[in-house]
Amino acid sequence: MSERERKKRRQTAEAELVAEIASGSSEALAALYERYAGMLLGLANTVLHDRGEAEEVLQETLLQVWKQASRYDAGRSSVSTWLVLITRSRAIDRLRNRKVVRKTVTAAQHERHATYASPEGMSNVFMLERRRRLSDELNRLPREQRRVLEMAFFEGLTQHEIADRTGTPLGTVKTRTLLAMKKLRQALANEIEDLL
Amino acid sequence: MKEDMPISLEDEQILELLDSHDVERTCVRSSAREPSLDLDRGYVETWGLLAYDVAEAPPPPELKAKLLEQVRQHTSETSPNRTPVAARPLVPRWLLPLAATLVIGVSAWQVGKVQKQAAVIASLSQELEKARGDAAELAVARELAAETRTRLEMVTAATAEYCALKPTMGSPFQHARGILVMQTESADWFLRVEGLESDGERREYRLWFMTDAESILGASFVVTGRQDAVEVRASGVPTGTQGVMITMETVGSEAASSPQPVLYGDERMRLL
Repeated sequence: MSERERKKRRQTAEAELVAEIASGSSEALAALYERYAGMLLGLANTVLHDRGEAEEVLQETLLQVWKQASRYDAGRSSVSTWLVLITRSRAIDRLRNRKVVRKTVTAAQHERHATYASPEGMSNVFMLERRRRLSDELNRLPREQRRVLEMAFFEGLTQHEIADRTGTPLGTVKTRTLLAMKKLRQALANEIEDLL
Repeated sequence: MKEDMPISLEDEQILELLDSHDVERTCVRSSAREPSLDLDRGYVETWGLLAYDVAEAPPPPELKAKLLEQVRQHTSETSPNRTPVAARPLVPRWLLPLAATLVIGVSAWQVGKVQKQAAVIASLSQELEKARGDAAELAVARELAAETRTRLEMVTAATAEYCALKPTMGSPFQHARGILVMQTESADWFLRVEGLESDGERREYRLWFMTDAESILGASFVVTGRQDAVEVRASGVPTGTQGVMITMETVGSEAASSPQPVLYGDERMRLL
């Protein structure tokens, strides 16, 4: 079996896990948790800079998965992206509600690039490879493009807010964002194909 | 690099994806409320892949157990078969207004009923009090009737003897009269005196039975104010009684210590 086939089977297996969750299998939810909890908690922690709140977001995310698994549409996103977007949405909602002063992108970036602390997290070779590939492609982006993308994703800022925050014209912000997204879309084509 | 390039429809959709946090429009089956985002799925996955730029944060071991416990609670709360009895509504919601109306109606009926019962109780209490008064009066009447019957039997008995009492010479009560009825078989006697008056708080009248040998005290009594008559009934007519007298003496004095006869009778007679 080729690497591509293994990745495809993995995606199919994840969609089947969600289907099992929809039918009431807590074991399937536990399996999904084992696979993604570390990554999702890291995401929530990066957005919120608060470990306790990040853990609450992780709980809420997986509870939402339990409640709404039957509504997941495998034709519209991968399980991984579904989980990521739920987590991000919940974390950013909390961030906006508490109206804290956001830490700088530099600080967040520093945290994101910290050394991995969990051997269990490293055990997932698929995710490790995915992480490496993304990191490589992000590093290839011009600094301004990467910055707008990260501000949008991790801080939940809209294009208008990024323009205000950075003092950059809105059109320029949109152009930088679109260029970054299109480059990534092209560079990660193989990774994305695995997810489809 | 061009910083302000023209924006196409797809570009607008990509920016909309980035600005929106609405997972419903991105990953979940389309609903009538929110139209789905019609965008190349590759961009959705690209957006999702950005999360892999962060360091993994290993969750604490208890977090998984806590999640599964929450799942278990959610399942038990939403499963109709597993709903705890205590959590189930006892009655359908639609029945509550009807039940409330019924309770109010029953309460009003109960209040009316209690008020009627209170009125009945008050009426019965009055009747009971009246009956108690009547009973007391009846008891007195019965006692009086019994006494009257006893006296009637006594005075009409074939063995009854009479002794008329008249004022003595020097008696202060010259208009006084008396009669003593004696039952020879039972030795019961009955005295009725008229015309005696009170002569001070420390004076009393005494009835003496006179035999051949001595005078025997039969009874003592007082007269308060101006009584029409004094009646005394007792037992113990001494054997050999020849006559009777009534003296007026000091209260507590020795028997016949200072006798002052006011009425006297020495003739026993039988009517029947």
